[in-house]
Amino acid sequence: MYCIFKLCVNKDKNKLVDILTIIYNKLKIFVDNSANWFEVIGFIGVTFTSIKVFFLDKRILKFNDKHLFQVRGDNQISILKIASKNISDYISNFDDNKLQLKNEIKRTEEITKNITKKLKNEKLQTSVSLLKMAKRIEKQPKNISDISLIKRIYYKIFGIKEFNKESVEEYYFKLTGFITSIEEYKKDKEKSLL
Amino acid sequence: MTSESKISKLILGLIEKTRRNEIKWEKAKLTSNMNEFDEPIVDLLYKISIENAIFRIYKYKTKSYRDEYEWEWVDRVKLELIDDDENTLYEFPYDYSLVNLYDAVREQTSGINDIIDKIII
Repeated sequence: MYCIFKLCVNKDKNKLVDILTIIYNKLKIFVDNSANWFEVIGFIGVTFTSIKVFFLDKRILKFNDKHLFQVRGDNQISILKIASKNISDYISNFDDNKLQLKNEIKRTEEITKNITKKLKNEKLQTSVSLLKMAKRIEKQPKNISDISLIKRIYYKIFGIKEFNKESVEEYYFKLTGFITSIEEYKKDKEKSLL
Repeated sequence: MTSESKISKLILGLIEKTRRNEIKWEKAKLTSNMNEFDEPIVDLLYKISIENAIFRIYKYKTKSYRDEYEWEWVDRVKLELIDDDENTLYEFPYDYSLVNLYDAVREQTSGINDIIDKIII
């Protein structure tokens, strides 16, 4: 500044223009460099924010599923409890209650599927084995003697047994185990949803 | 067979026998060795003697903690193997099937089915 002042005083205009040009160029380079740096910082910021939004979105979806479970869970668990009681009642007279047992198993299967869907990120091993068992029972015919020979051969080839008490008992054990674990899970998550 | 599945079979077997009235449960009394303060008993206690083994079942309240100082009472059912002096020899692990057994026992001992049948007829 002192130099510029001195030049102005000495009226050396050419030198003044040269110096101002140099200062202008230096400032231009500085502004350009700063702009480039801000651009880089901005790009990093945008990338970071989009990654954060992506994960936040996933968390919100997870939260939404858990919230749905908290809202509807009680009702679904109580249906499972009623079904488990009915199954335990019907088992004591298995032969007369085959149809009712099949219906109850189907009902519990649908609810278990729904709960598992809502809590897909949680490791609920009991639900997986319960659903597998339900599928297996669904395929079992009520009375093998009532079906055609071709179907009987088909069942023999694929090792599908007649609907039997042992498989219902196994299903009941898995169902009560699932109810116990899901009740505990619900209690744990009542405080924190995220 | 694991001990867990043996227990599940036993509980289901007890439910079936109770439903078919093949075994008769009877009301039991509260004993001094039961922890009534931390786990208050709800309703009645029931017991049965099978093959020289005495089983006792009852519903009790227990604290379910949400946080360090935040809790709520929840109902639980306990099945125990007891001796002649009603001391607990073995406590069966909790599973929801115990609730079904407790309901079956209450239904049998209350005689509700007979009462309903009499009223309907």
